[in-house]
Amino acid sequence: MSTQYSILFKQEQAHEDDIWACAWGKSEKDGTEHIVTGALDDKVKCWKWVDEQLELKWVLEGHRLGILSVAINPTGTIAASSSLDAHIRLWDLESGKQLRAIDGGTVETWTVAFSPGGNHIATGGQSGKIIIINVDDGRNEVELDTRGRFTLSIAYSPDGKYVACGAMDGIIKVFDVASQRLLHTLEGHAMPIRSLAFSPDSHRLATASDDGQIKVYDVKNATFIHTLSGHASWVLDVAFCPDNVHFASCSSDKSVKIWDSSTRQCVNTFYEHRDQVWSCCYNNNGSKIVSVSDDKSVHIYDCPI
Amino acid sequence: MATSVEIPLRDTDEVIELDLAQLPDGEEVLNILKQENTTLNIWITLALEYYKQGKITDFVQILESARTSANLEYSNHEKDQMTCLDTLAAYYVEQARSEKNKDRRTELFMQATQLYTMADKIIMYDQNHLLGRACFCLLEGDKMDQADAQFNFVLNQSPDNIPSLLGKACISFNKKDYKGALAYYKKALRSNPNCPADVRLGMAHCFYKLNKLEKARQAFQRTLDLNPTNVGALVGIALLDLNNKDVDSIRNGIRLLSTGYQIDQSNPMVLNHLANHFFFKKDYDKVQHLALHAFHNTENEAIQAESCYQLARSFHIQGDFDQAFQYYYQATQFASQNFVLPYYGLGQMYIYKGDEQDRERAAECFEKVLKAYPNNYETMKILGSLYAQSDHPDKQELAKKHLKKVTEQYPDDVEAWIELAQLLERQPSSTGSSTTSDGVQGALAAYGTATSLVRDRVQADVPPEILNNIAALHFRLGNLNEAKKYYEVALKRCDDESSHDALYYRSIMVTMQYNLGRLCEEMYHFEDAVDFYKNILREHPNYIDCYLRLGCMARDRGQIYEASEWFKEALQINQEHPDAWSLIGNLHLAKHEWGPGQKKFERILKHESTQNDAYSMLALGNVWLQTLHNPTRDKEKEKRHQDRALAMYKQVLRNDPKNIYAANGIGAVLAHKGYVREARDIFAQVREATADVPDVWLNLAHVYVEQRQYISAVQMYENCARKFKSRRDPELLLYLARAYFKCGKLQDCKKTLLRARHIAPHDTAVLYNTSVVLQQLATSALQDEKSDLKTVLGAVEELELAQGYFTYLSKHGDRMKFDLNQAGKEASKCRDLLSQAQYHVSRARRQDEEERKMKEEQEREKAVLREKQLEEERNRIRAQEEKMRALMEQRAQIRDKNKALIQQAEQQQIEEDAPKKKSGSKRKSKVLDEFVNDGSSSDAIKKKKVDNPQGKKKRKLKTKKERGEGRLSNDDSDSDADTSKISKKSSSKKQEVLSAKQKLKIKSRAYISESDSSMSSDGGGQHQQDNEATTSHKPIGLESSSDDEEQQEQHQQEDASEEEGEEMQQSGSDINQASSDDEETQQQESQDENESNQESGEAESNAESEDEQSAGEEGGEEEVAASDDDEEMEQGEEEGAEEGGQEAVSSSDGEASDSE
Repeated sequence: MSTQYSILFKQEQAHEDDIWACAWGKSEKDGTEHIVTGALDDKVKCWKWVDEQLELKWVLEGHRLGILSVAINPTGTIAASSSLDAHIRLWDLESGKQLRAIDGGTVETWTVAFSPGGNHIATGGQSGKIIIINVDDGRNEVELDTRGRFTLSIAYSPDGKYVACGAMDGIIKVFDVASQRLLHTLEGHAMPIRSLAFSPDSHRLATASDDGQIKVYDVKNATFIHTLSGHASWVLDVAFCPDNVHFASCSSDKSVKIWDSSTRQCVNTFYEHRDQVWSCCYNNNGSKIVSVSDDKSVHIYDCPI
Repeated sequence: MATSVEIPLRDTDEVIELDLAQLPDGEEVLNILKQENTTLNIWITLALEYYKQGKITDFVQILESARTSANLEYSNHEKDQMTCLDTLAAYYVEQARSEKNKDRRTELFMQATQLYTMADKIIMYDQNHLLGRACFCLLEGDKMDQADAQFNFVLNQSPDNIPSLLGKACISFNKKDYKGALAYYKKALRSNPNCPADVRLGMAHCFYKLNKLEKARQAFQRTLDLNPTNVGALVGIALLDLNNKDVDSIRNGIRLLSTGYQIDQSNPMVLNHLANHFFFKKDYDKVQHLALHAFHNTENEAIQAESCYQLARSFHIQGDFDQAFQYYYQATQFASQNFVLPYYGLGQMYIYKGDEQDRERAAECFEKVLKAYPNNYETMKILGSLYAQSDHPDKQELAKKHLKKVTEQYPDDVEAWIELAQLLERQPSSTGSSTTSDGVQGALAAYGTATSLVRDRVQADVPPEILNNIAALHFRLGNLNEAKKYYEVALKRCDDESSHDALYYRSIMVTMQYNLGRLCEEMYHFEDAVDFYKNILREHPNYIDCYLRLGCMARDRGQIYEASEWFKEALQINQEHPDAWSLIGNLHLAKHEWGPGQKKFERILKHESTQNDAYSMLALGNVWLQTLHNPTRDKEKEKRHQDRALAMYKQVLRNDPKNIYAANGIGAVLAHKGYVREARDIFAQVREATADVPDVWLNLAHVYVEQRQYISAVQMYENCARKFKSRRDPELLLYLARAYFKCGKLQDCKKTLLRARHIAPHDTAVLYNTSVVLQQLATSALQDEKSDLKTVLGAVEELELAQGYFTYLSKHGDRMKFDLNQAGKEASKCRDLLSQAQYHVSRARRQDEEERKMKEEQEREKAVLREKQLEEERNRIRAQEEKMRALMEQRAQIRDKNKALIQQAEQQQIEEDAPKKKSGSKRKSKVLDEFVNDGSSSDAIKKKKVDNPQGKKKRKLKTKKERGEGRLSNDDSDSDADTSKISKKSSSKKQEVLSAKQKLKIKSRAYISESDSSMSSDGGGQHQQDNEATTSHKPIGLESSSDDEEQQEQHQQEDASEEEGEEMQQSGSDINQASSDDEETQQQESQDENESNQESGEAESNAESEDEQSAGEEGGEEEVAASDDDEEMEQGEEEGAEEGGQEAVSSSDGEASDSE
């Protein structure tokens, strides 16, 4: 285990165009570590992380107009992807086959997020509604109306109790999944929220906004805990580390930052990408981070644990 | 020597014998002389006797009477007559010399002249007479040449004539020929070793002037030996002693001077020197007394100047600057060219007065000093700091020159280094951005030298002000961490120093905290910045800059309401704060609330102190420009607004000819008016001046688009995006997409739009444009007979998407950005296309199958062929084998088996290879075809633009659309501009605050400068110091605020640029108009075509495909224009009509294809 943050591996030209999304999952069956990336070139790629290297496993084709978001289910077997063509597609990572294509409606699909149980996918879009889709039959099971603006980002809490979404106007709403009730409205940001992440213990919620700041809230009481600033531009993604302390963020300023939520300090900054970094993600023990960027490369970083 | 004079009695031989020792009363003698008709020579003798005995009145009386009453009846009387006249004249001259009263003096001179003239008539060339005359000439001062001639005349006659020699010496001395003078003196001395002591004195002066000080001293000494009361010699020795500059000598010199004073209390030299002495003794009353006395006791202007100078100096040091000023001024009036000290003092007085004009006069004074002493370091320094205060670049350049020279000559002068640093750090603001780093780097280097000097030589801690300034410079250079370090050290130093002057240090600490806040902002540590600002406000609730920064930060976070609260807070403190008003105005403009925004800026301009505020004027110009983006039918109004915008920009340029934002604005207005080429020239020039303003890049790109140089436009947009990292700006992406669309690069256009959509998914204009491109791409893919199945299927899918988007947009679109009905029509168009799509799909499928079949057939043929070949080979082999068989039957059997195997393998291979190759080539060709098609389609589009029969209508639409686009883009640019403005404004606000700070800083400078003043030897130093202090303080203020100020300027510029951006948009629309004008000829053609069109509306089946493409174009334009509102509404109607036509075309296309 490394004791300091360092760049471990770079996959240049991983796609033919800007890469916009990534996810990291570990198969419960055979322990294979999968990294899924999605890009403007309409392709979803599945990579295997072996021997400290990325190995291209599948090129998953079917989407059009660029992949916006990818997610891997908790058991690490199925990937979901959404694209600008308003479709959500589910892929079997073992076989590389498309399991299902779900038409999300013209403008109602943006980010996708798996429920902790893996049975549902949450997404949202122009109407601001959160749509919860059953993975097995692809049908809309629940609609949660935020009565807000375009839902840019969405996140399930790891305990499955909450689903949070961030809108174009910076408003964040937290719903209780069981009762389908709106619990909290958080108004700390005034600019688009491009990413949300719950802490592994589901107590805290980190929000990333175009105002360059990350805010951390207490989920239960909807209280603001603190603001972290340091990015020079939009914060495009945040991801919590399984250790419940650290989290990573990436930004249009081409950097990936690692934060310590207890000291409220930035503990490391990677300036490895040459263009804006759209997404970043921890692996399941928190020892690695993957990031993807408009520079068409996928980077893997080593983290001390 | 006779002890008595005998006066012969008249008509007798008797004489009256007068004992010289007991001369009777003059009156009595005169009576005797008159009565006895005594001869003139006796008169003269007696008169001289009286003179010798000091009875001057008797002497004059006798001589005056002798002129008229003496008996001349004896031989040689002319000579005596001459003597009489000359003696009397000489006396008058002598009197005149010592006479202080000017009138009386001229009277005496007149009398003397009269007498000499009388004498001239008697014997012109009498030696004594000539000498007397010459001396008289000398004394009169301006007749030196005449005197010289007379002396020469005498010397020709008698080469050893001592008075002539002395006279010549005097003349030589005055002509600065000291050697010559010395030679004459020596000659005189040789001819008469008993000459009076004055000759020695003259020699001494010569030696002194020749810098032979020892000889001079000897000569002075000899003079004194001969005449112990010779004041001149005393003064000479005293001066020599004083100049030795050691204590004993000075004491001795002073002693001599006092002796001289005792001997002659009115000798101005003595008085002046004594005054000088007492000045250093700080006995200023005595100085004034002595100097005044000296002044009144001399007519010599040089000495008067010195007296005045002494007086002025004593007033100066006592702080009575008015008096000092007067005396300095008087001194300069009297002073000779080389006596520049009064100018120095006068310069100081002018500095003290402190007005701009006074400073200029001071500079003139010091220039005079510097002319006399070109390397005088103090003067250079003062001049440097004087010029440094000027805003004029030339003066600043001079200041730089002086200060650099000072630092070169005296590399240890901390003050000069600091001054230089402060000058350099100010420089960039006046000389433009290109030299910024030079100035800043230079300033940093100078500060570095200064600090190391302070640390090493002075053994003192570096003053926190300097640390602050260094930090500010690092900040400007972007060395943020370095800056932070210095700020922190500076703060700590303030803490340490605060015991000395708590108030002052606390005040500069506030500045530093503010600076740190700015730094934190720059480092994106917004939370820390907020803390700093709020901390400052807790103690200093009137620190407006903090409010403004807090407001700006809120604004940048998108929290507009909070931002405006902060700005209003600032206005609570200062109702007229222009930055606060501008920031609020910008907030309005960002929300497209033109009216309220305009009012804010007008308010700023209404206020007296800010009536020439360039930022506000630019903002107003931009507002007018903005209105141009909303196309009106009212040409009058449009023109009025154009003119208003133009007037604003012109006004700004009048005040500041280098304002590039104003220039950019004018370019935009020109573009609006259709002068595209001129606008382009302006933009190009602006970009040459600065590459830091994105708006100029955009404007240039817009102009390129207008001029149909799409490739250049694309490059320009992309450069702009790269340089200013604005790939996050959907507006810029839209521009880029439009340029791509116009030059037919639909794939790039699509990608660009997708990026925009990714960033701004809610933006319906982006969605609309995306749909248009999808539709277009799909249409061309479907129509391309060579599209393969996959392409066709993809196209169908995208067409479906486009239809979905259009349908969505027709219901939920933003009416402000495009016509919803149009979206609906597009949707139905998509539906129509889709209905035809099945045909294309089946065609493609058929084609696909055909190809497959063909491939199979080919493979089969090939297989047959190969079979044949194999057969032949087999036959041949068989023949061989038969031959061989005879030889080895057994082997042949084995071979047969092998061959069979080989054949099989080969067959398989061949079969596999053949199809692969074929398919590969086909695909390639297809791809090529596609590309070609694209090209042709783009060509077609272009042609259509030119050829289109419907050209007129379409063009109109286009321009409208473009305008709409322009508007949209303008809006975006506005918002950008607003932000920039705000930031700028914030900086300016800071400036104001700084002015308050500056005062404090000034104090600090005074502190710094104190050491300097101690260095400066002159008493006047204090004033200088003050001046310097003020200048240096200002720099500190500047530093702290420097960012702000820069920002201000930049902001203004940015504002301008923002405005420019708007302009660009506007210009874009203008350009469109212009281009339409250019194309008039084409239009005419198109008109003709139109007519034909109208006639044969449907007839042109050939043109159908073109039409479709053109329709696509229009659609594209619509895309671009999709964001327009009002215009679009109108356009929509027109377009609707057009669309109807298009639909017809497309349907006809479908038919055509069917028929095909």
